Amino acid sequence: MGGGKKISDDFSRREFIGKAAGSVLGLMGLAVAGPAGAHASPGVGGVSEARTRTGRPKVVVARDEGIWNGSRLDDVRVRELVFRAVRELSGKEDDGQAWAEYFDRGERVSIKLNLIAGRILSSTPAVAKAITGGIMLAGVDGRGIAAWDRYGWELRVAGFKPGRDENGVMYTSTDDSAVGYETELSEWGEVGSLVSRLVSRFGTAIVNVPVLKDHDLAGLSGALKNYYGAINNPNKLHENACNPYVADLNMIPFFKDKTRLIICDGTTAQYHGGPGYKPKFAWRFSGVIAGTDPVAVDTVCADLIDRKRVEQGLPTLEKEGRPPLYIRTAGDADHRLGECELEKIDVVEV
Amino acid sequence: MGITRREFIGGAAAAGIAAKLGAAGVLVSSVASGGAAFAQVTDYAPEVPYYDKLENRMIQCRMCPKECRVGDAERGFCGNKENRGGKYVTLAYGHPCALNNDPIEKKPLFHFLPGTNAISLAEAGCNFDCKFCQNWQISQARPEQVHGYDLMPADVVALAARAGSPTIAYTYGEPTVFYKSMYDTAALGKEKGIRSVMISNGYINPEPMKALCGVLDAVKVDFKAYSEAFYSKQCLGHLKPVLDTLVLLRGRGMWFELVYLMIPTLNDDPDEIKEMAGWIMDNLGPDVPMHFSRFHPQYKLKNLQPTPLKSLERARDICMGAGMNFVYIGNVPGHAAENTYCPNCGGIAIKRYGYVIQQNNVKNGKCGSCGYVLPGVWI
Repeated sequence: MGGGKKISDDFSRREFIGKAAGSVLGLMGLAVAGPAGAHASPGVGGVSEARTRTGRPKVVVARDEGIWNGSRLDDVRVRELVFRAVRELSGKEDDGQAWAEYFDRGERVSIKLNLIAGRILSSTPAVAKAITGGIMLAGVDGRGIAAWDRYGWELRVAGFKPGRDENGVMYTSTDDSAVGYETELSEWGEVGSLVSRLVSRFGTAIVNVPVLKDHDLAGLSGALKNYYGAINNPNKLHENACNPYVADLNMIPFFKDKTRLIICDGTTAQYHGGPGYKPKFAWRFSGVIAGTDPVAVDTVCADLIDRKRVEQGLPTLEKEGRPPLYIRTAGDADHRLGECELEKIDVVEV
Repeated sequence: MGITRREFIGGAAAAGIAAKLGAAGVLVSSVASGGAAFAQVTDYAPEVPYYDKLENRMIQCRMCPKECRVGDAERGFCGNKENRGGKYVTLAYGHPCALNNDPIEKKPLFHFLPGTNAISLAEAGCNFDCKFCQNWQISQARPEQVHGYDLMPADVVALAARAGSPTIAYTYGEPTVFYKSMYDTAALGKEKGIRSVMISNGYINPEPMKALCGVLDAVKVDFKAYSEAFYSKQCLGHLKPVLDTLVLLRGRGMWFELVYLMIPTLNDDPDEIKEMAGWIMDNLGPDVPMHFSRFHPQYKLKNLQPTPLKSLERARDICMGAGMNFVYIGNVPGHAAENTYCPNCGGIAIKRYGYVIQQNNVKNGKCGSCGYVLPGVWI
């Protein structure tokens, strides 16, 4: 990996605008690729796929109750938590080497946040900042990183400041007038959607940052379902507990081929009543769940939700009649997006 | 072409748009995609009727047979309505995304004030997801993903009056999903002498439909197919509720016409057409107009060819043979089956070319040749 030129060499604002005439992403200073998503590194199933020596997918569950400073997150402790998870996932002791397992220097990284549930139950600025810091350690220029979700107002409510931060990282949203959706449908199976141009054009790699939480219809809102926030018509895909729609959506090459790393934000989690924030069902899990296999990550997340539900005297999602069916579909022979059998996943707690 | 809030200050809204529309002008809707500004739709979001509040701030919509259960912060299948803390609201009220001054024949309504125009509008969203949708850029979009006009119900009614259009048509997408806007506009229009017509898939629950009957003057229903399999697979809906709506409209004395978009290999089976004609004759009678319309490849069905003319003509023959009096062929300009023929004398009551009325022999609702009373709503 590596060896690429600095992104600023390839994509200075001025040069970029010249290259991508008419591109609105260019006008906002975000470099773009064509919608075919010409990227250098393989995604899921490629060189960055995390597996243990047994060949089984690895999912890291990292926790630290010390990340909380009263009601606020300690950025330094959160960074260490996220970095610990990535070190364990990659098998590298050095932080730079660990993050470089997943990103080349010349890449543009699109970080899909999950901000639907407001300030308390969304991907947090602290975790996002830790991730952007790690990506830059791999040699990616901050200006080649965009963290985003659907709406600008969601960013603000969740505590993000739209625009570039001190490192050049762009915090933005698909509804920004300079972004938008593709105009051609992307189709697979039962899904036909317009994809956010932050996925199709900007990112050569995606970091998927869902939140650990229950979903009243789907069972779980995890990594696979987080891409509902990257298309124009998620409302069309909620019938039958979102099955097979979530799995089908993740088969669309923009998502399947570009997803490089998943870091589920479990600083605050919710075991019932999601996806909206319900204080009585939320708890401080104080951790992150990291992996490269989105099906395995979701399988582990569903198990964590179930454990908490049982602890709280609630039936498991299965017993309540709303298991996350789409996880199994994502792992079936038609999709092969990852491992959906918990006993076949190496879950490493650190 | 966009209309800003500023244009509406001082009551200039209807005047401004009317000037742009002209007699038969068109304001084309546009989809906000890459690079386009997104509509701001969250500033005014009134609560919708017909839903139940459930535990944990969930709601269950009762507007259409889908009866979506929607969690807090999520939207129903239609995309037009959102659960905000247990309150179900519509997101595009006063923000139509398409606005035209169409010939009424374009709806198509052939037995309703022929030769007049209808101010035609839509909000984003639909309770179906038809793979062949001809307006998918707005029907399958969310309100914030399309450009919108600032046009409250009173503005729409004023616009119709200024444009000289006797009718407002709720169309293009599915009006059931913007029920509140439609109802409020139609009710206001009724007070002002402006009529309203709903161009719909008929997928609506009985209670809201009954209420609408009090403010509407006509309905056009898309009869997608006489097949549950077609409805479930191609549209993500069901046939039975649509049939129920048609029977309800018939019982209420509402004028309505049917459109059947004929798609090669999917809903053009002659036996199925014959069954449908039988059901129509038994339940709706011989006088409900049926428009067999030509399909053009769109949206998720780009792999099929446009409907062969002979398929449309065969379907028309089947329905006429079953006893239906008014069976038309649409999207084939110049075809003789665009005309209205008097069932009594066989003479041409209305001669059409596309949306243009070339000759109108209907006098006081009767055939100009023989005096036969023609069903419909006439000038």
